[in-house]
Parts: sequence; structure tokens; C-alpha cells
Amino acid sequence: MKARILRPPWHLLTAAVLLSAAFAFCHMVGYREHVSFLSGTLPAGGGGLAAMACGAVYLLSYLLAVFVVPVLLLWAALSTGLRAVAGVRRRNGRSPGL
Amino acid sequence: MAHTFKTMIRRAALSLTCLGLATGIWAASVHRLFTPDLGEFVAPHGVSPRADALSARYLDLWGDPQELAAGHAAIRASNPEWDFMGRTYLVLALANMALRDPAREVAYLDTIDAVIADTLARESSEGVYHFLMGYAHARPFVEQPARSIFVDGEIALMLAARRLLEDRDDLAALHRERIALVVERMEVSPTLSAESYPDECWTFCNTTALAAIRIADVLDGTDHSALLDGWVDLARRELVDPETGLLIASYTLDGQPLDGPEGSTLWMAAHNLQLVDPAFADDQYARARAELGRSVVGFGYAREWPRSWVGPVDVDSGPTVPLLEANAGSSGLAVLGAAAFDDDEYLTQLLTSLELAGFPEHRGDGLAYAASNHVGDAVLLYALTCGPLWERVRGEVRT
Repeated sequence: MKARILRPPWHLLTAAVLLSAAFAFCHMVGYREHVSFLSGTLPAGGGGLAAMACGAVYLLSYLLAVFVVPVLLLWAALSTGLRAVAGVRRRNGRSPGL
Repeated sequence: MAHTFKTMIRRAALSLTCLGLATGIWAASVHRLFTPDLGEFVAPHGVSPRADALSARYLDLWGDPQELAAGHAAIRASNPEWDFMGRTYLVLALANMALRDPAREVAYLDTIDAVIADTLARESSEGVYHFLMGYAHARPFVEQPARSIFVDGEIALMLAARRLLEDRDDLAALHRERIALVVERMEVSPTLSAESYPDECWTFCNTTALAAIRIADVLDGTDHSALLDGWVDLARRELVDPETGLLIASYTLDGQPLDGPEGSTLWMAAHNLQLVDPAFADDQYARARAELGRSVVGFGYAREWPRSWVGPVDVDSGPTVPLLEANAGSSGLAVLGAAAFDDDEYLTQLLTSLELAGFPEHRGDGLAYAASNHVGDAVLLYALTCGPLWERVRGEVRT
């Protein structure tokens, strides 16, 4: 019997890659130096609102990379794993449960 | 049809279960990525690696007039108080570092002397308003001629710290003169406090002045215990918020409350009071920790105001994160509070947040935090080195 190939949840993995890429982009273009707005400090070298916006974008992309990307990856891994377990149970003629 | 619907429900339930599990697992473990080795930040003896790296930037800065002028201009554009406070915390930090590492005392003393000389020169040439925010001009000081306990108290504390390391006649004369001015103003005031801004007495500034007076007593053999004890007695009666028992942040010269218990004041005030009345200081720290200190999944932070008080966010406090009520100024100074009161659990949680959201930037041997500024990094440096200076005043020996 041909084994069924379990497809990973590509939408979760794609979202994780896109969020990571967004953070990497913000980091590479140097937005990190503008996060001084977190302490209420005016950005060095002027720039005012534009610099603060860059800092805010950097902070958002960073927080998404730290808090959301790992959850997406874990979510993908867990859901693939549980579907695999459910598939084995089904092939063995038992209720898949989940 | 029914089978397809059931399958959809089953898949959605599976997906949501996985999402819940993934969120729970990550929430419980993410702080581990940022939890620092406490020994990297604070050392019972000597200078910790982080403190050493943070100080390197300042030692370089004060040796480079152009860089220094640019740094001062940048910070003054945000708040002239920060320019001044950054100097005070740097002097206090370097004095502690000199006591921790006597082999480098000469280098630290050079920078301390440069900071004090530049500060006195600017005060002399620019006047009392140079280090104050613009609103100081809005009305005249009640006590004339115009002086600010914010400036006098911190200059007195800088001079005191310098003299504790190595006394010098010229500095001793300046210190005694400044203490005499401070004491004179405080003693005639109905609140035993002097103005930081016109008809505004700030607890931060007045407790800093009290600490400087206490050190003067140790250095010069004077006795201002009546003023020190009197201030604490009056504060217990009239300057605490009845709801929380915490010191209020500011009041008029005749004792009318202005701002309530404010985190960016309280942590430093409690630290200052360790030299004046240790029991009262411990009580204030414990109350501040309970009312303002917070931790969420291993990340520590501090509120600016207790739940029972609704206060504004001002330029002193820095931004506040909504919902959590995590405040930048209060959280930064909470690091000093936790370090000064040996609260390792809270200190670790706060430093975990610093590693998450401070954005450390290593430049050569130096370290700066991108989310911070000159005063924030100087407060952190002082928090990571504090101890020996206060112990010397209390006649304690570090074991």
C-alpha cells in the first residue's frame, strides 16, 4: 500500500517566513537605531516623525518575529504531528479521535 | 454533506487546539531566551562585564569634546533635565566602580572630575535654569533668589561621592558651600523641603539632597540629624498617599500635594532614604514593589502610578505601554531599586525585559542600549554598580 504523504500547513510556514523576512529587512536597512522613541528620546540626527515611524515599524516587526513566528512554527509542527497520529489511528481501523 | 461539515469542525478544533498549545508553550518559554546570567550584570565584588562595557562608552565620550557636545545637544533637545541627571548617575556609578576596582580609580576619577567641572561651569555661565525644563520660567520661585534643589541636591551628591573617594580642599569647600545653601532653604520651609521648580518640591530631588547632607555629615563631622529625622517624620505624616502609603512625588512649598506616588520618583527616593532612615526606605521599597512592580511570563516591568491613582504621562516618565501600564522611566529606575534592595528575583525579571526590549548595541568594547539614551544608560550603569558608596557612608564593609 502506498503511504500517504502528510502535507505541512504551508500557510503557517509562509506567514512565518514572511514575518521573519520583514524583520530581517527592517534590521538590514538600519531601523533599529530609531527605537530610541521607546524612552521618549527624539531620534538622533533629526528626522522627527519619519524616524519615529521607522522605529515603530522595527519594533513591530521585532515583536512579531519574537512572539508570533515561533508560535506559527510550533502550531505548524503540532498540527502536522497530530494529523499524523490521527492518520495512523485511522489506518489501524481505530477512531481518529481528533 | 454532514460528513464534510463534521470533518471541517474536527479540523478547526484540531487547529485551535494546536494554536492554544503552541501559544502556551511559547509563552511559558520565551523569557528563557532573554533571561540573563545575573553575574554578567551585577557582581558582589569588582565590576561586572556589562557595567564595564556600559562605562567604556562614557569614558570615551568624556574624552572627546566634539562627541560630548553632540551628545549633550541631542539629549537636551529631548529634556535638559536628562543632560543633568545623566551626569549625576555617571558620577555615582564611576565612584562605585572606583571602590569596586581600585586599580582603575585614577581613570574613573579623571572622568568624575571632568563631569563635575563641566557641570559647575555650565551652571555658572548659563544660570539656574540651564538644566531645568522650559516651564520653570512660567512663574517665579517662591524662595528668592531663584535656586533649584534639583540642581543643588545633585551637584552636592556628585561632590560628596567624589570626596568619599578622595577628598580635596577645593572640592570640600564647594561641597560645604552647596550643603549650606540646601540646608538653609530646607530648614526655613514648612515642609522641610526646597523647590525643584517654582512652588514645586519634588520628593526625588529632596531625598537626593538629604542623601548628600548625610554624606556631608560623615565627611565633615557635622550633624544634621534634626533636619534628616524631621523630614522623615513630616513625610510619614503629610507626604504619603493615604491609599498606598507611598511617598507622593511632588507638593507645594507649604505641603499641598501635586503629583501622587510616581514610579520614576519612588525607586530613587527609596534608594536615597537608605542613607537617611533605612527602615522607612525598606518600607517604601516594599510598598513600591507591591503597588508598581509587575511581571508577566518572566518579564518584569514597573507601572508609573499605582492602580488607585490616575496620573499623567509626562516627559520625565517616558512612554507607557497601554494595557500592561509598563512605563519606561519607572521600569528603568526600578532596576536601581531592585539592585539597591537586593531583590534578585525582580532584578532578573527586569533585566530579562531589558534584554528583550532594550536593544543592546555593542560597539567595540562599549555597550549602549538603542531604546535608551544617555540618562537611561547612566541609570542602568549606576544600578549595576551601586552598593559600595552607600556602604562606605554607613561604615559597612562588603564581605
